[in-house]
Amino acid sequence: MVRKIFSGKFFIFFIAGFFCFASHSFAAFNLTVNPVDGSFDLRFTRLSPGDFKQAREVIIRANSDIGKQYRVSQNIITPLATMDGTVLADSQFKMYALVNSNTSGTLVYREETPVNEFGATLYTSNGAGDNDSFKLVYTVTPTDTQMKGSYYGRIAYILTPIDSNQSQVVVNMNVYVELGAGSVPTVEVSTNTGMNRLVLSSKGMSQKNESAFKDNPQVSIKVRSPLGVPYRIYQSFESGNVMSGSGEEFDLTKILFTASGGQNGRLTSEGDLAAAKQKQLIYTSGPEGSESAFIIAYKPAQDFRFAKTSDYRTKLNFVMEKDGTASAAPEVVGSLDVEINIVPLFEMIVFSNGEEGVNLKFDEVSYKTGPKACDVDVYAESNMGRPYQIIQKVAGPMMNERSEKIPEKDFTLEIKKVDSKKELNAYVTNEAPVKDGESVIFSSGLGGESAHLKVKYRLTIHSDTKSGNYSTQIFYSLSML
Amino acid sequence: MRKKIVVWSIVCAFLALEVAPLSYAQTSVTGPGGPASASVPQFLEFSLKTVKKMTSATFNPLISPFDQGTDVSLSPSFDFGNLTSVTDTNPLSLTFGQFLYMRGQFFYYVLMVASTSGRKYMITEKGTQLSGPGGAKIANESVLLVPDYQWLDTLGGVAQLAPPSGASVGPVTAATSTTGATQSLVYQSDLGGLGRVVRAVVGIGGPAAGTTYPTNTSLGTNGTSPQGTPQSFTAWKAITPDQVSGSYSGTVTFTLTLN
Repeated sequence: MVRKIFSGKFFIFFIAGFFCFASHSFAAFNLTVNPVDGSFDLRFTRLSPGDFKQAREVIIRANSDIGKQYRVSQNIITPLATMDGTVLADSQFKMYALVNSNTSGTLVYREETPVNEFGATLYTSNGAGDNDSFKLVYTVTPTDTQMKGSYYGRIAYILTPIDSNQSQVVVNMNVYVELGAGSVPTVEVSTNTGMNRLVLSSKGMSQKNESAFKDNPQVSIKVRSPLGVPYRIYQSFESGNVMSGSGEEFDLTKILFTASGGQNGRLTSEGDLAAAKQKQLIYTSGPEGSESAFIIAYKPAQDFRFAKTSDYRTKLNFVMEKDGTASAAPEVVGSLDVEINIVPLFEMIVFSNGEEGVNLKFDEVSYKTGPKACDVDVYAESNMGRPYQIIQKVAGPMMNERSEKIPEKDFTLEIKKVDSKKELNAYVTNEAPVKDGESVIFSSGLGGESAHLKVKYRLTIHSDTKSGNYSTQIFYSLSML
Repeated sequence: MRKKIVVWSIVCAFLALEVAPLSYAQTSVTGPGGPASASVPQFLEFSLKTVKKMTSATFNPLISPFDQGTDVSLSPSFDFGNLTSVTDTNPLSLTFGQFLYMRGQFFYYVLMVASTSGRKYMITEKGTQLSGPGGAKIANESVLLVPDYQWLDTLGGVAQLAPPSGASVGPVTAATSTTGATQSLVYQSDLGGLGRVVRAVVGIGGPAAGTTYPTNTSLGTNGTSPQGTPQSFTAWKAITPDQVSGSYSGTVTFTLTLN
């Protein structure tokens, strides 16, 4: 009996205690976030340039019975980006609060603004902390320059009590945006000719006219949208080495480039294309991966025309690498056909007295002036890949009006300088008499490399040399062996 | 079969067009030609005129006069100094120990190269008789002009070797004359007027040991021995100790003449 009475009392106390403490253990302070369309995530269907802006409503409900004012804020945990790290532009993903969608408290009124603020306060309840709800509208606007892809992000909504020890409540919501390719490519590669190719030809180039190439081909590269991650742009020949149909490798140091522009990053301002056999860095963006535009102008180097005569064809790719996810692979953002045309060259150009041609003017020479010298610069230009000789032909000894001659020993020549890069060649290295008739003064190496000779002629007059105006004629010729 | 032949012809034609550009380069190119010209002016002058003062007692005939003595070219003045007696020092000589002649303390080398732009020339010398106190004179035949030509003298760093064909060295003669107008030949060039280093010795002295008269040769000396015809100055007179003492003076002039 006693036992029954005790058991009955215990049950009453248990029930009373349960209700007494339940008011503290189950105090209402929570938050729900739901897209109005009933889904669990914020999803935007595929948007392409020209489509209307898409809007999605989200209703946010705050339940609280703690009797304290509270605040609802929003954090971007994961910015909207594709797997390869391309971040959706701020201008495309925006939000605003639907005015009067709340019943009490203060809904922070916003113009449509980018969803990029950290800890943005959305709503503050009234002082009593009454339950309330409000609506947010998220929008995605398609652009011409948007990058195709599936963008994913995550937004956190935080319910925070004010002047209370109650813990804050966090609710996350995933966001998915599917974008079609922009009508204007994000990275645009174009040429000044409008053609999808670069043509470099040695036709018209000569010693006298190194700048024959007036219209240097230019490539314009525009990165229209900020990528959100650092990126680099390289130029790279698709085939590595540039070869002719007959198997000749083109020396890429013979093509130079200069780059200008690239205001938001670091541009390789000049160089030759040797490094483009692998990949040659042209542009490095800043950490924000901002948009940029620059122009690369290509021009033949001075010795371009000396490359082995042939037609060389290849492709020049422009490759973009982006920092970010490990899966980000280099992407070819532009590709141009390259044609290099080296026309046959077997020419000789001679300069003396600062002018083209042969004109050795010793002027007045006597035993008092001492020996006088005149230099002749002989340029033998060949890209035929065969050995050749430079031949000097002298019409006769230097003679005056009375046919009095300068002795052979007093009119001499010496080759002072030979600019020839690789090959061994043979030439008159010691002072030797200028002989009448033909004589070989230079023999090229087997490859027939172009050469520049400085031929120094020296005239010595003695006290017993007869007076008068002396002259002879000197000719040069180039002969392939 | 006939159709196949036509097709191949067309293919070959296109191939020919493709390779044509590579075949037009020439294998021989005639470069430019032009004149080499110089103007050589005409000269008539001594281009080298060096006067060296030698001390008779210390002169070494084995050393070039260019390398010994004192250069007085800037203000040439033939001061022969005090005359001293020269005695025969050859013990085999019949006149051993006897007085031979009076010799100047100094004598002079005149070194010349003529520049005539290839025209035939001669170098001559004339001098006025040396006059002393009270009208005393030194005999013209005692003041010697000894033309000389050394094959090993250099021009432009190269030995000049023998005189050119047709050239000759003047004989030893009196450097002065009573009228002062007598021209004595120092060097006669060849027809082409080739420049050569010519020497002339002016001094008061006598013949070399063992000889009777002062002598030179018509083609100079080749470095070891005289060349050409000996040319003795048989009219030479020795100055004797009774010559009136005092200072004597006169003028010596060298002349370059085209002939």
